[in-house]
Formats: sequence, C-alpha cells, structure tokens
Amino acid sequence: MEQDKNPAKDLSNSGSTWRDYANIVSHAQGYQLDEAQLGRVAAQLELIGMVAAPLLALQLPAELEPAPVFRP
Amino acid sequence: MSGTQWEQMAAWQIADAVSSGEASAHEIVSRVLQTVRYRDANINAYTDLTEQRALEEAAAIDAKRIRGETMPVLAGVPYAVKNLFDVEGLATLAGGHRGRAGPTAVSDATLVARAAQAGACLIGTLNMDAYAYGFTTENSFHGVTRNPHDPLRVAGGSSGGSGAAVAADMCAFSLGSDTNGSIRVPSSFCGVFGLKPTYGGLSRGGSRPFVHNLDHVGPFARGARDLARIFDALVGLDGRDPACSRDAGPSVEAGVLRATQEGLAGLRVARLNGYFDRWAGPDARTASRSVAMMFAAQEELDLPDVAAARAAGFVITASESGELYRGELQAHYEDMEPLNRDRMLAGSLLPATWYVQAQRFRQHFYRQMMALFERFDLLVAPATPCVATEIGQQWLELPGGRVPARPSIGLLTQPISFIGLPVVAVPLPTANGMPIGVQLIAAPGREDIALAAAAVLEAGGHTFTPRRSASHED
Repeated sequence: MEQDKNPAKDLSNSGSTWRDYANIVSHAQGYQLDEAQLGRVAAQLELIGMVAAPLLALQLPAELEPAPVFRP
Repeated sequence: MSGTQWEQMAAWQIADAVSSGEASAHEIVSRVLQTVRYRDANINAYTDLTEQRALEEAAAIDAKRIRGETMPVLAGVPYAVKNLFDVEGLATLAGGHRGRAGPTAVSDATLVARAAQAGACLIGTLNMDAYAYGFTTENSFHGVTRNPHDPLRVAGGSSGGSGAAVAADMCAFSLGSDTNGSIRVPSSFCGVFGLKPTYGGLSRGGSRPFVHNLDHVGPFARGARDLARIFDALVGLDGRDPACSRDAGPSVEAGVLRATQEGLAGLRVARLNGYFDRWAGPDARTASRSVAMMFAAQEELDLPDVAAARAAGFVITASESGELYRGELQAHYEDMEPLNRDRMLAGSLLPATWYVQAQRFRQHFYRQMMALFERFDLLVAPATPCVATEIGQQWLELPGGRVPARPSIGLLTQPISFIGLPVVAVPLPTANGMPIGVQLIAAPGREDIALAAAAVLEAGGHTFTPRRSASHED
C-alpha cells in the first residue's frame, strides 16, 4: 500500500498547532474549555495523532469502500 | 458432596451437580455469596450485589429439579456481569459516576435474560473502566479492581471486575465487553479464559454502547468447555442489536469435547510475529511461541499494516466514543472520569477524514486477513505485551519502544477486534507466577475452532492454574 505524506506527524511536531486546533474546533463542537482543559485535550490530540500516523500515511485505492456497518 | 469447594468448580460441573441433585443451587449460590463477602473487600470486583435475585433464581432451579423437569444447561451456576449490562432494578453504571447514571433498568439485557433462561443465578454487577475506555479498571468513582494473584497489580480492563471475579472464585462465569481488548486483557492479567466472539456473534441488546462499530460482548470462565457451553446458551438472533447476525447452531461444546478426546489432527496453525513480537515483552513472546510449538505451527507470519490496523481501531474508538459522549462532556465534564474524559473529548474533535480513512482501511485489512484463513485455521499471538501492570503504572518498556501504559496495553488485541475476528484468550503460566494470555484467533464464525484449540491446551496441562489460598471456611 502506498505511503502518503503524514499530516498527523506534521502537527505533532508543533504542540501549539494542536492547541490552536483544539481551541477552534472545540468551539465548533459547542465546548467551552478553559486553558487547562485546552492543554490536556491538545496533549490527547497529539497522542491520537501519533498513534494514527501509520494509518494516515497510507494512500488507499479509491475503490476501497468504508465499512460503516461491518458484517464479517 | 460435603466439603466440596463449589466456588472453585467449573460451570459445567456445577450445572451437572445441580441437575443430578448432588448439590442444590441454593447451597452453591450461598457458598459463592459467602466467598464474595469474604474476599471482595480486598479485590473490589463487584459494584452491586443482587443477592435476593440470586437466591430466588436458585430456589426456582431447585424447585424445577424437585418437580422432575428437564434441567437447563447452566442450572444453578452463579455468574455476574460487567456493570454496562442492564439488570432489571439496577441503574446501569457503565463505570460512570452513580449520580450520572440513568433510571433503573426496567428489563434485563438480552444476554442476562438468556443466562437466566439457561438456569444461571445472577450474583451481581462488576467494576470496569469508566465507559469501557481503558485497560486497567482503575476507576475514580468505584475504585481500582485489584488482581487476585497480586493485589499491587491491576486486573486489566475494561472488564476488570469480570476477570477478577472469576479468578477469585467469586462467580463461576461472568460477562464482559470487548471493543479493543477488554475481555482478552483481563483474561490475560487474571489468568482466566475469555471469549471475544465474532462481531455480531452475541447480542449486545440492553448493554451500554461504547463504540458501535467495534463493541463485542462475551464470557469469562475457568475453562474452554465452560466458554463453549455459555456461548451455546447465549447465542441467537436479537432484534435489539442491529449488528447481531448469529443464529443458534450446532453445539460448540460438543466440538470442544470431541477435540479434547480426539485432538486436532490437521489443524493448520501460524504464529503472528513482526508487529506482535515488536510490541511484546519476553513473557508474552515466550507464551506465544510455546503455544505455536504445542500446535506444531507451520509458519511464522509477519503481517503487513498491523500498526495501521491498530491505528484505525484507535481512531474509530476515539471518534465514536467522543461523539457518543459529546453531550455529557459538554454538560457534565466535571462528573466524568478524569482518567479518560480528555481523550474522549479529543476524540470528538478529530477530523472526519481520519475516521473515514479508518473505515476504508478496515475493509482492506479484513480482506488481507481473510486470504490468510484460506491457508490457516488458527492464528496465535500474545494477548498483552506483559503480565499485569502495577496499579498506577504510567509506562510500558517494550522492544518496540517506551509507550504510555493505559492506552497501550491493548496494542496486541486492537488489530484483531478491529476486524471482528473471534478470539479465545488462553492463560499460560510465566516464570514469576503471574499469568499471561495468548490469543487463539479464528476466521469469522469459527468460535468452535478457537475454543477446541483452547480445550486441547487445557487438557494437555499447558494453561495457567491458580495457586489458591485456603478456603475461608478451612
């Protein structure tokens, strides 16, 4: 499977970017986070981004459909 | 059988004894309730006891026998359930704050109702990581569930109470849920057998969801035959769970008994190495290699994209649970579990493209694994990177690197449940006396193969046998 540029890695190299992202998107989701919460949520986003990196690095073929209801 | 330690017996032995009149359900249930009262103060597996219900169910079973009726397959067997299953008359906690729990359940979850129908007697509900988001059962509202083999260690999670209660003889079997490893991790840490069925294999009706696309439910027990009997008793279609797709079929227990007597000649087995060895400590690697040797595994496989599978499971979990609890996080953040509320909130902020990519990748990984099952019947991999971690432990040191403990204990289980494969977690002994689990992984719908293989290991004396302290009555 092809490897793509990894957006999560770019963000994880810049802690302030995750904080900025959390600040903007949390408002859009209806949260009112204080500074301490924002910091903790940004840290969690960074962790998820690091774990997600091997997935986000993949370039999936267009014909591959998602599995929203999965029945093995 | 005077002096019999019923609390240590297998579920099938208890059911046979009750059905034959060798013992009464009342005697056995009373004995187990006594064990819970004596032992749970030090373990903290239970969050609520349902003593009156258990005794009433036991009385009904004893009356049935006296009337000469056909006895059900779990007659008089004491069991307990993770507190995310609805139990009529109790608030369903799902590990959360009691004050935030909804009204008491007006009916039982499907599996609880089916267990009752099969003659089992409900002792109580069990501790878990809040919302099922964790691998340690360190719960800020209900306390930590301690490992019965070492009270300084965790029981694993998120179904930690379910694993610990069986390991500490405080029920003959239990029910738990597994989204990313929450049955297999406590099985490994507590030294009991656990079955995570195929996705949709057992009904989740009446259980509190965590991640709709990944949630499974299944039993813990002291052996493979028990797991098979419980699976046979609980399986069946259910309109309450849209994912439930498995109807009752041929007896899995009969296949397990046959395998125990005749062996599993011709079983095609492979051991998963690569990613699974990179993220496994020495005990876990040794256990997985031992099992592969016992089955004369034909190959070692270094699967591609396993890290991406784990990543995709992680992203789906964060996104779906974040969405599910978004309202609670907005309105009652302070009342939510401090150990996971920020990760859940972060999950609710993830880009939708990540989630969709995870779902698309899921199909790719599923197809890749299905191709493997044309060549092999059973795959072997470690269940946890190490034996039970210490309470409060923050980091794991593994061959692949140093990782935060709480989100990483499921590194080896997450890629498998991500595509819904059935797995039996089988406990093995280690040199330091603690158990560790190995995953026996089969193709979708082939619980019978994984359970038969587990039974063969058990019959060969290869599985973990707990060192029990003296009975509280001795």
